[in-house]
Amino acid sequence: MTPTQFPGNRSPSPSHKENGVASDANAAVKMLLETANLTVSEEEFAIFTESYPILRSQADGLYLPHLDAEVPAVSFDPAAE
Amino acid sequence: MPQDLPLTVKDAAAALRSGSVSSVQLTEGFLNRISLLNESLGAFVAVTGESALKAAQAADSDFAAGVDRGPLQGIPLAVKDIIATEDAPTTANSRVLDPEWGKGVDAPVVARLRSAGTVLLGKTTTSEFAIGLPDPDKGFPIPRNPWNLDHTPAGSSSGTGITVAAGLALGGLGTDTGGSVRGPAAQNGHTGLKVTFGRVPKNGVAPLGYTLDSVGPMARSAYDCAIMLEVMAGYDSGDSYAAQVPVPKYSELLTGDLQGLRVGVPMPYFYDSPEVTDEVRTAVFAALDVLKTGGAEMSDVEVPYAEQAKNANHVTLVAEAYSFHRNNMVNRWNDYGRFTRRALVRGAFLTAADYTQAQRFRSFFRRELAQLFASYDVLITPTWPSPAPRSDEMSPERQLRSVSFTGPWNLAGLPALAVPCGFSSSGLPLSMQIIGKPFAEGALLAVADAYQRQTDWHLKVPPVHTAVAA
Repeated sequence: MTPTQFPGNRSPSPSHKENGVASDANAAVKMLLETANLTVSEEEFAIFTESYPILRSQADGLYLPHLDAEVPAVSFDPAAE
Repeated sequence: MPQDLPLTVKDAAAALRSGSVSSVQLTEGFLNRISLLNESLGAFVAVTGESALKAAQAADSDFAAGVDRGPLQGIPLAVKDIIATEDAPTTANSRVLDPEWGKGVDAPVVARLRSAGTVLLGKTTTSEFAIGLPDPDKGFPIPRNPWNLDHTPAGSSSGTGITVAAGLALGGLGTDTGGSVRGPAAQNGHTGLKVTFGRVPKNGVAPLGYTLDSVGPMARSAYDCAIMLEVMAGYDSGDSYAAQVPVPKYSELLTGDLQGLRVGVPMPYFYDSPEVTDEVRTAVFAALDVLKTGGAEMSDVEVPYAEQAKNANHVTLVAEAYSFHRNNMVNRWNDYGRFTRRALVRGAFLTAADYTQAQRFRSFFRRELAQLFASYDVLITPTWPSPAPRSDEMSPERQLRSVSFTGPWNLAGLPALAVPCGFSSSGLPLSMQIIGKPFAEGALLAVADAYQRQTDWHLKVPPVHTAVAA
């Protein structure tokens, strides 16, 4: 694997040009990796671009309308030392 | 040296007390097996033979002096290599973890086992930081399934799973954040318990998912897991998540009685997923029939939003793990295994709102399950949808796409037990999962023990074991 400083800057492949979802994923992953200061290989970037929509879809699927009244399952004891 | 080492803690404890074997003889026997098999199985990262033999000598001296610390005295066990032990480094199977981490100290759960007189044989392989898959370029042993070396032993408690199945120790410690005790137990063919969140202290354990992690016993039988849990469980002030709940004498709850047990069988998702093989479904149904014959009452139920629960567990896991690893990932990306970083990076792809929403879903899901458990004592599902796949077919992306029958219970913090229930036509173990109410480990172990009194799947040994015994 060859490390690439800004893998998302490379030209999208022809299949990506034909696929808006893939292009969106490409741009999103590029931005997220840059924001996180992570430098990855081209091979890894391709893997992340392919799997990102699945992860995004799984996270989006948690925003169920009937959870509007729920509070997060996080708590702490303010008196704990 | 005994060639026919006992298969279970229970049998070994009886043999030690009858004088037919000493702890030193047992320990030498298991160390011999490790020396013969570890290179091909990749079960141990470090073997602590010297300190193990000292502990065995101490156990034998205690027996000779009439001191009996309980059924674990003199019993050889193994410890997953993300749990600190004073006599060996903790690596988390990673080039990233600070070598000073946990150095020279026992995690409380390890200290409890030592106080009970156990003999710790060494540290077992784990997926790096309990996530991802083995990377052969990083220099750690590659764990292999003892039933077929080309297949995965599952993770992340791979080494302990192999160790128990292949007879390299009588039991051991694993950790479970999304299925890491139950997966290896299922795919190596023995029993493994994911405890209620907070049941066993987890300080001294390298974290993965702070609100999901648990330390659990892995052994051939439910009885052996019960004996181990009696020692492992209980509050420790060093773990802010540890529960202050009394610890029952689990082994005394194993009566063999199933009369009136209310079993919920959630067909949607857990049985009807296209990923569930016919062999898995048939084996678990056959196990349900055994329980029914014993007096259990079966009902079809539905676990609402099971798929979302799996996803919420994953969002929680990678977000919490990424917060721990973020700085090292920025500076030492290539020091992480190739599969580890592919899994951990997902934490950078999620938003703070995604994590918070996963916790809102968690509140909802826990309440839904509490309502379900008002009518049922246990739920039973397959532990894994298929027998162990080939190792070269595994990837973090495949795991992302797959169903998980284990993750939902980590999200809810509930106890869940993997129990062997058959073999595939290709000779690989199959497993059912028994899930219960918070802190109902005793109920799960009692159901499994009753089943194991009627079956012997948990006592089957892989060919690699018998080859050495011969």
